[in-house]
Amino acid sequence: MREVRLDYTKCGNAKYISHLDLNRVFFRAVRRAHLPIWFTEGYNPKPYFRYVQSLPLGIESKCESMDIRLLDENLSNSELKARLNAAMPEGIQILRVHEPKMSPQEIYAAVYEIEYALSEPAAAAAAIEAVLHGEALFIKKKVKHGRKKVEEDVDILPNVITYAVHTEEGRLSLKLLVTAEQNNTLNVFLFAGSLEKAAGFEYELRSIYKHCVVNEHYRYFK
Amino acid sequence: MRSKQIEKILPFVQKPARYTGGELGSVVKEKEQVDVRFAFCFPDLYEIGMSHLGIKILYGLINEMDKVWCERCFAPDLDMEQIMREQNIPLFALESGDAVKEFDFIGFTLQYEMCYTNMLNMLSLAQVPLLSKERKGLKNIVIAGGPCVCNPEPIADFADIFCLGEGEELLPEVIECYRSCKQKGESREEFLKKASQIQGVYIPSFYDVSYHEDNTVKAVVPKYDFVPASVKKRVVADLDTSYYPETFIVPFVQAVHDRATAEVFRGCIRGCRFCQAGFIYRPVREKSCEVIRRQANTLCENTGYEELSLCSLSSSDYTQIETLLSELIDDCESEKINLSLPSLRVDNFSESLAEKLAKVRRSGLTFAPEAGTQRLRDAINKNVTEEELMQTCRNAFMGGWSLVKLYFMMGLPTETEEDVAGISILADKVADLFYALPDKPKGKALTINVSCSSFIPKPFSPFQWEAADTRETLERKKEVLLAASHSKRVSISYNNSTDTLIEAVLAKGSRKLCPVVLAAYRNGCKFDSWDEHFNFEGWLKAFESCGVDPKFYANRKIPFDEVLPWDHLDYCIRKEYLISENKKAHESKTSPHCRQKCAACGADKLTGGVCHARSKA
Repeated sequence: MREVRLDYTKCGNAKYISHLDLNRVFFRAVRRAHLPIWFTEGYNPKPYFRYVQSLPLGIESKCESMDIRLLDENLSNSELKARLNAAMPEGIQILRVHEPKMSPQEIYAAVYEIEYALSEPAAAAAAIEAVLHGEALFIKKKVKHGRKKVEEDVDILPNVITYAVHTEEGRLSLKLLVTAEQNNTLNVFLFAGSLEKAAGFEYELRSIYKHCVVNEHYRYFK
Repeated sequence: MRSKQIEKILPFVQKPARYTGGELGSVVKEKEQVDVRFAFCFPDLYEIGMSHLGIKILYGLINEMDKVWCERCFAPDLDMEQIMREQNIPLFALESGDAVKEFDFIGFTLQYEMCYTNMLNMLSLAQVPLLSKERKGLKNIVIAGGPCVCNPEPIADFADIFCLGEGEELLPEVIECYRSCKQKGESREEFLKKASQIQGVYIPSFYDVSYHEDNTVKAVVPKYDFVPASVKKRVVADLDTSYYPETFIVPFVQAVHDRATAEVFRGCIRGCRFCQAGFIYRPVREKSCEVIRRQANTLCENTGYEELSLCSLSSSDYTQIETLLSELIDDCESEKINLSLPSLRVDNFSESLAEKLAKVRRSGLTFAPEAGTQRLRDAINKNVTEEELMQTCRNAFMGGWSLVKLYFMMGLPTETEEDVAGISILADKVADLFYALPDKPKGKALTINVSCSSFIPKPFSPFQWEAADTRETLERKKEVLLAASHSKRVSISYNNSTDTLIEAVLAKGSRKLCPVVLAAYRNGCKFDSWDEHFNFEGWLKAFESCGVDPKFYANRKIPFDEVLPWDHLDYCIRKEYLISENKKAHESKTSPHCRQKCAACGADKLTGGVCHARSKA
């Protein structure tokens, strides 16, 4: 048995596939590709898929990773990649197949980009700067209090390590380096919603991309 | 490509992958290269529509046609609809994201009457006029098919074309007819005239309906001499050679039935008198074992599905069932596929197959006695005896099952309170059987789920002349049912008497219902088949404002000599045969099934004499 890490994209329509649904997509792709994968050995055998992180719905990414286990030691990484890519729906593409080097626990931060199509980028940029320089930015988060789940206002500015705003005609891009540790991760989708509300600007279209994931030494996750 | 407007709202709705398309197996064509665009609409949520086999067959079939593009469209969920209406986004097809109002055909499959308001809601969201007479020009042809169109009169004002029977041959003919009209620059009316010459095509606007003073139908007469006085349904004669898709669209969002489906046969030999499906899908046509197996394996291979199910009205009645199951079980085992089997009568199977079947995982045992006493089961021609039920349950309990589902109907013709109480008594007997067994499953509590649905008389069944029980009667029968139940292990559920009334009206209504359906829709009725959305008040107000008495359609027994609203539609089931079946019901007499004795129902006329209930007996 051999464990391999798949780095893959989740772009275009695929950004609307929820994490739970993604599991079925991979399972069926693996079946179509006839890959000799290892199944768990419980009463209901399931394929062993371990996702490095889960991506919130609506965000595009070129840096997703998952680990699978193969029964066939001789299947080369390049063949595995080719066979799987032929069986994947549009938007999900296997970029690399390699031996896992880091543990998901080592992940420290992620780089995101929020891109807006809008009419007055300069004004929006100023408003965004003001909010991000402010005291706090709250999102509603479901928190467990014992058994009860309650909604709580949580300040998310501490999760933003650094950022950069760039504008051009009809377009604004906000690049963010945010925490992505297992217990301290930022949902950038919720972040964007609360930022737009606080900064008070309108847009025509918004896209969010996840660019890369790094460890605490700012090395790419491998 | 989807518009920016749609793209912007998708992150804010539940399960957006229901609206994006792009699933594996979905078909995208160059729209500039396409002559005819067909929007296949399923008037319910994505999860429901994507479970339906018919849409998969017809989607594949239409897309095989050169320069014709079929796309899908489902009823948007309430959150999506709200945003679409607020932002004036017209209903769009999934593959291209283009507005449905730009399409040549807007097709609906009508699987249950309670989706009629959804059809109107979808047309309204599409920004297409709801009434057929208000749509102009050669585009937006609203075409509908499915079992409900055997009496489409309550929605006759909204559709341009109804397709009776099976669509595999009919639909391509209609599309080709349209293409030729479009190329010649002909009008909507000219196209409809030409289409009316195709067998199976029913164009409601070409017929005049006259009524007696008491609101019963006097006559349905063609307006033009080139229109057939009676429209005959279409079927495909040979299922082995007819189209079956080699792949299904594999949804991202989990559909209710998210699996590969192998169709086994069409029609049914049983002739249960309450069952519309048992009559309108005749004659019986089987696929050969090799074809089923090949199609099943191809589908699993191309989709990657981990589950395969069989589809027919009664798979146990397939003549080659032993061979088929034995082969499929082997195929599935080697490919790690779960074979999902409906309740099969396992009594007559060979020992080796029974052993194989035991390895197939099944969640629970479902049995449908339909009525609580032998007298009533005889009257409805459901040829199941109490002994058989007990034997099946005994086998199941000894095999380790402790969950049994029993399906019944309430409100059947000739039903007495004794018959209703019989349902609870029978369920209690099953419970007693479990506890009396020495080898009952250890450590498992028994659960018997009794599900009682109300009987609704449907066109083209022997009970089409019968009345549905009134709400009051149904409520009283529910009390009788509950009072007769003693075992704590039996839990009883039933459906509301309110939706029973509406469904009964829509099933047997005439064109006088069209304004009611429209008014109900305007009163906010939609998703009527969903308990949480069903708006009975909205329907009652609609009946009142249109001056229509729902009881006239739902709760009135019709004499045999009255003209039925669907009499001009020919499903090739002889009326004399249906009458004789109805009379036998009232004498509590059973009829042999088609393989024991052919009743000469008439359906084999459609296939030039082919009926596999006879030839493969």
